[in-house]
Amino acid sequence: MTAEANSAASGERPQRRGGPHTPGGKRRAARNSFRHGLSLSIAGDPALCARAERLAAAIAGKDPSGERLEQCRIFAHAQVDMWRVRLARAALIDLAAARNGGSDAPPDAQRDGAALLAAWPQLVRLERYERRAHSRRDRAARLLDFLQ
Amino acid sequence: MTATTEPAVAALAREGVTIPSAPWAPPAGIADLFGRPPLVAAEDPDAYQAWLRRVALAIRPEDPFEWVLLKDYVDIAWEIIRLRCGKAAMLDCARARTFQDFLRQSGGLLLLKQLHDNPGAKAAVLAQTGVSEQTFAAGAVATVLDQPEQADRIIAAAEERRSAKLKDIDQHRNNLAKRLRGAHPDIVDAEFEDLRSVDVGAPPRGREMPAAGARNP
Repeated sequence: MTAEANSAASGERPQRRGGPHTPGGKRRAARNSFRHGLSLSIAGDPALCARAERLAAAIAGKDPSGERLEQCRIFAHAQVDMWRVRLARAALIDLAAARNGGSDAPPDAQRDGAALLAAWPQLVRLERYERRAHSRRDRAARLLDFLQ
Repeated sequence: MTATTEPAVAALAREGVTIPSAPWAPPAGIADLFGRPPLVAAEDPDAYQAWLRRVALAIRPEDPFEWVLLKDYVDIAWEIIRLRCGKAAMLDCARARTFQDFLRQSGGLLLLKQLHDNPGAKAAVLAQTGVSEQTFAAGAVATVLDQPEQADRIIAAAEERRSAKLKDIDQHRNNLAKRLRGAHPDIVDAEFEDLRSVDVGAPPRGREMPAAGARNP
């Protein structure tokens, strides 16, 4: 039973689901990840893909079965994604600090705080990305039977 | 983390044992895969690498999977410290801005200039405003209520993930030990197999084995 049907049955006002509802809003939200230099998957970046493949081979070890190698590949892709998110976070803070420079630059003692305050909304969004990447990575690790 | 690594390293140093950094650095292939550490420009990469090696000395990762978990542990722990310092820095910055905004809005441009020219004269400037430093500090908190609260939530989530890394390494090692124990009986039986019951072919001429029960000459 859908949430809307549930609400209707109990006589409550149906709750709108979160997130954008218009086509324009959905298009903008779909591109949110690109604003941080991230894409939904690292498959679009050959260098990151190659790195994930090397990591998968290192974890899979010698003469792995096809299934094990594939599971290692899933794990490695999620892991490389997490590393990428962490680098993006550091880059956001550096960019905010650089933008704070110039004639209106805050005194040295306030520079770190000012940079963080400026970058904070994006840092919070990145934290959500990292949590999702972390969950994907952990699921892949369980599939590898390492964590059983 | 430091409670386990510091005594071990210090004890060895007192005995004159030099701890080589290389054995506890990631193997060359793994280090390449790790790539650039996730540091802000103001952070010290040598300090990060030293911390990574100290954690490796404590945990002693045995395969690439454990190295990956160990790096996760170090990255998350580093991020936690950055956030804690960052929370304090945000409040300090907000406090200073609140003070400057107050001076600006209350027509105190002259006072603002006095403070800019002589930061040490803050107490005198405050006395002229009639507002205490504690009041400004409290006002600053009100302007950045969301950020410290969010930072606390992010820190708590990161601490949970950090603890999970050590449990993951434990579980990985337990699984490996179980697999070895499962294979052990086959290894033991093969080692103690009675070779006399195995046909090893005829011995070379002149080297015939004595018949069973025969006495040695």
